[in-house]
Amino acid sequence: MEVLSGMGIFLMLLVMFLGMGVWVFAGLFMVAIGAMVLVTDMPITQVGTILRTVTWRSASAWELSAIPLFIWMGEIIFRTDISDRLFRGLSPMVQWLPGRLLHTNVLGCTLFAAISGSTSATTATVGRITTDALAERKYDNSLAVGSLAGAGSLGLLIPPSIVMIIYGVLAEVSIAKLFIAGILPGLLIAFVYSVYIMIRCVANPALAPKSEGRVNWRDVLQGLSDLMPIFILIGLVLGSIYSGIATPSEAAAVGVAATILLVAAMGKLRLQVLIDAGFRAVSTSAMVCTILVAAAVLSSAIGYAHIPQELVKLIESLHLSPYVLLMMLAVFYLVLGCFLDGISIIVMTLPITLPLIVQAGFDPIWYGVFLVLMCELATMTPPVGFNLFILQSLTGQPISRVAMAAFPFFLLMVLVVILISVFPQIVLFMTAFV
Amino acid sequence: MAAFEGMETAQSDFETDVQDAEAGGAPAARGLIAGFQRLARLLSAFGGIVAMLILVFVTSHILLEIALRSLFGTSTYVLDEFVGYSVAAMTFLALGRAMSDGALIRVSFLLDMVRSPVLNRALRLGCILLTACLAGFMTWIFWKTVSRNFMRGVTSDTIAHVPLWIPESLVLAGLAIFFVQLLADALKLIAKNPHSAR
Amino acid sequence: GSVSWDMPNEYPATSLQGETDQFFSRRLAELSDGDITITHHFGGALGFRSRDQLDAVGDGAVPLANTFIAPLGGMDPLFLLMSLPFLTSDPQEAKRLFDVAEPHFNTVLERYNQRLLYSSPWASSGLWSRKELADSQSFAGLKMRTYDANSTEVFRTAGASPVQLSWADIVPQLSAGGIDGVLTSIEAGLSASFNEYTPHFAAINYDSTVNLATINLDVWNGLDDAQRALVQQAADETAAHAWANIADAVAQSYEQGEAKGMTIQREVDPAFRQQMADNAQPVIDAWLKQVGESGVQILDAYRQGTSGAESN
Ligand code: NA
Ligand code: NA
Repeated sequence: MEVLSGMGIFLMLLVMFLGMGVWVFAGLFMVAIGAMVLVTDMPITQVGTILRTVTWRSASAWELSAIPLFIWMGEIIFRTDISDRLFRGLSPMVQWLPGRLLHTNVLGCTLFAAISGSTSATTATVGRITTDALAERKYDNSLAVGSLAGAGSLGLLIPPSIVMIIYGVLAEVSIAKLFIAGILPGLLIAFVYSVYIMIRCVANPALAPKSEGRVNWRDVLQGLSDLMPIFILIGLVLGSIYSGIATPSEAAAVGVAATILLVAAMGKLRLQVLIDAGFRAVSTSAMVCTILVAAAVLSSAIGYAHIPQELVKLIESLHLSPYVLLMMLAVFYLVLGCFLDGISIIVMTLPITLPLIVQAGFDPIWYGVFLVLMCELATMTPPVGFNLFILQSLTGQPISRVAMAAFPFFLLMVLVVILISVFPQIVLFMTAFV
Repeated sequence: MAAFEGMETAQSDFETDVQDAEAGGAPAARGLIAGFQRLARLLSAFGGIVAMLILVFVTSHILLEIALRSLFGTSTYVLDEFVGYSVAAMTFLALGRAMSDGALIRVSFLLDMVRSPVLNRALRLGCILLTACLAGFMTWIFWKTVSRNFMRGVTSDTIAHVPLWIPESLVLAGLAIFFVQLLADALKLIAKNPHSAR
Repeated sequence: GSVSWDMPNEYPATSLQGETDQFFSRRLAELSDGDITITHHFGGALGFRSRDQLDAVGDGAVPLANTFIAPLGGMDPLFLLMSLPFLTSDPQEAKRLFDVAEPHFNTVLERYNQRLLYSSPWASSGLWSRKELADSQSFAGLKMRTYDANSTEVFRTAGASPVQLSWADIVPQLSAGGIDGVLTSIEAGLSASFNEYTPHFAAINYDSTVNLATINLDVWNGLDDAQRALVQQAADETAAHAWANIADAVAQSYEQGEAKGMTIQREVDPAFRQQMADNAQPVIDAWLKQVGESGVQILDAYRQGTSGAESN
């Protein structure tokens, strides 16, 4: 029960600091410091030592570089006519589809997930390009924001994925198989999201603007040519990864270079655009990265408080049947996911939950995909949800509104978790071919 | 070009600061506050410019690494190290600018709800001061690390043997700039409000 | 009173080092009758990496930690001793090298406000490759991943094209064909499934690195005599267990690899290894210059022991 009072203090501090309106990254730091002092009884000098070590270590992780670079790429695209062309080009092709351009978030994030291994980079980059454009065209705000929160998290599930590599090493399972295993569930989520958008738009046509009328083949051809730049861009970055020229961590720099070259080839390159985009990218990524760093410090505090270990012990002591165990673990991860980021969750709990789950007869590859889905859900749950923070910054709407918009998409992902639990073949089917 | 753009922002912000400060307070205090605002803006703008240059450096270094590896079968051997330092430095150096740009997000639920001007201002001031305490604390602990690593001569374990105090002091500088920016914002808020200024 | 410690380790619970730590905490709990308990934080779960842990223990951020020492080379060059290229060729030699150097390690650790509990070896690193490496010729132009300044230097001299990649980038690069070889131990490679891309492993025994578990001196001095004796006993048993275990662990990993269809070259041609060792001499000389007198002492004492063993 001590673990529950510990969690209570964390929650209380979170509500207090974030609720009073302190900037999110600072609030998370304060929660971590407060919890170290109150829950773990640490002297302030020890708190300081932990703070500086974890801050420096997590801030200087080179994988973080994908965030500022992809955001810069998104800002450049946003400020040039690549993004206008994207929407102009897509319009005639989605005329027949209920919800029309509302599907760009789902489609865009699914494609972008194939070049980016992080959710933050995916959501921020795709969101920068689509959010204003969709709002201008009078598409329903909550569907646009919610689908972005949901689909933006696909960066983890569709390879390349940092979380899967970490899981693969910790659980000693094939990373190649994990990558393959993530593809089908990822596409399934994208499909479910699109179907949901269509159903909502059929039920209530006011969610999307009036159709621009019939389109002919000429419009479609014009659309295809408008889409060329973005296809070339994605093709170049994907090509650089899958030909082995660039590593997934380097893909963002390739993306920036390709974008600049493309803009130059289109004759639209202006130094001022690059600079404005750069300043904005640096500011936005300072926001994202300081929150990531603060989350690392917070997860260190939670580690010192032994909360994950104690919770799992609690679950273990109940001697549950396999599916009840799985359900309890899902609840456990959903709760932790409210406070922690995905990678921390896996690193902290895997040594304890993996033996439990293997013993209960589940496949470790399947469990890897299950955990990645749990991480993705964590990006959508308040108070600490990275996609919510990024969307708040993109749209300027309060986090409560963003979280409400994300909620249906959260539920749909939970539905997919249930589906893969009942039909594990969805995950394991493709791994047979590796 | 970039520098010019940054300075210009600082300059125009300075003028609004002076106007804001003129709302209340004695002339001497007003001048002091305006001067401090100006210092904070300049520092934040400078941090932003350096962060932006680092962004360009990171992109170039990664592209250079890719070219070296695929065309010449060699490497700079320090990519993850230098990019790691760069990301840390960029993040913290840009913090002051991100703050004045309004890029840092917060949960504004309570701030929107509290209508009383005095209470609202007190709440905003509380947020700034709490964050300033945090920034001050972190500046202090990073100062201790930087000075200790400088004295000990600790280097990285790579081919480059980078003295660790150098990249760490960029983070320290960023934290210090952020701290100054917060103090300036607090002063501005206090100066605006005759009730809490006296 | 009863004592509860948090112990970080950068490596997974299932790794050799994770296993060693759990042996230590189990023995400690048994010996102390549950009076001293340890909560493990594997996989860097507290946010510390090995390179952070010397200061983390010294400053008291954690009471004790199990630390891979090679990344501490920037704090004191002595920590690079065990990762010097081709100095040792099997766990016995590694053990002897470490024993010779132990007093020097104690001096350095004390300067960082901590003391040694136990040492725990890794399996020697070897070469994972797509094609079998028959001789030194097959190194020519081999694109391979090395892990530190020294290994980069040595393999560049040998004619290979070493690149440094972060651990997470290795598998994507292997699968895309960006690299054809990886320098790491059999155990580490299997845990990341390198065998799916590079099914050949040559036990060139490039180096035999160790982890050191250390405890903060204030924490140590704060224990009573009986507790100190218990901790020391558990630590000694753990070191003995870890060093005795390593040969079996390696043999087991080899069998695992072969069961997965790998070809494992357990012995490499001695002439070839000698040639590699000659390539490595400048690296060792440079290290000696950096570390000074104590390095000369260690290597002399170690080499005397080696030649003595060979003449017997
Ligand atoms: Na991805
Ligand atoms: Na969350």
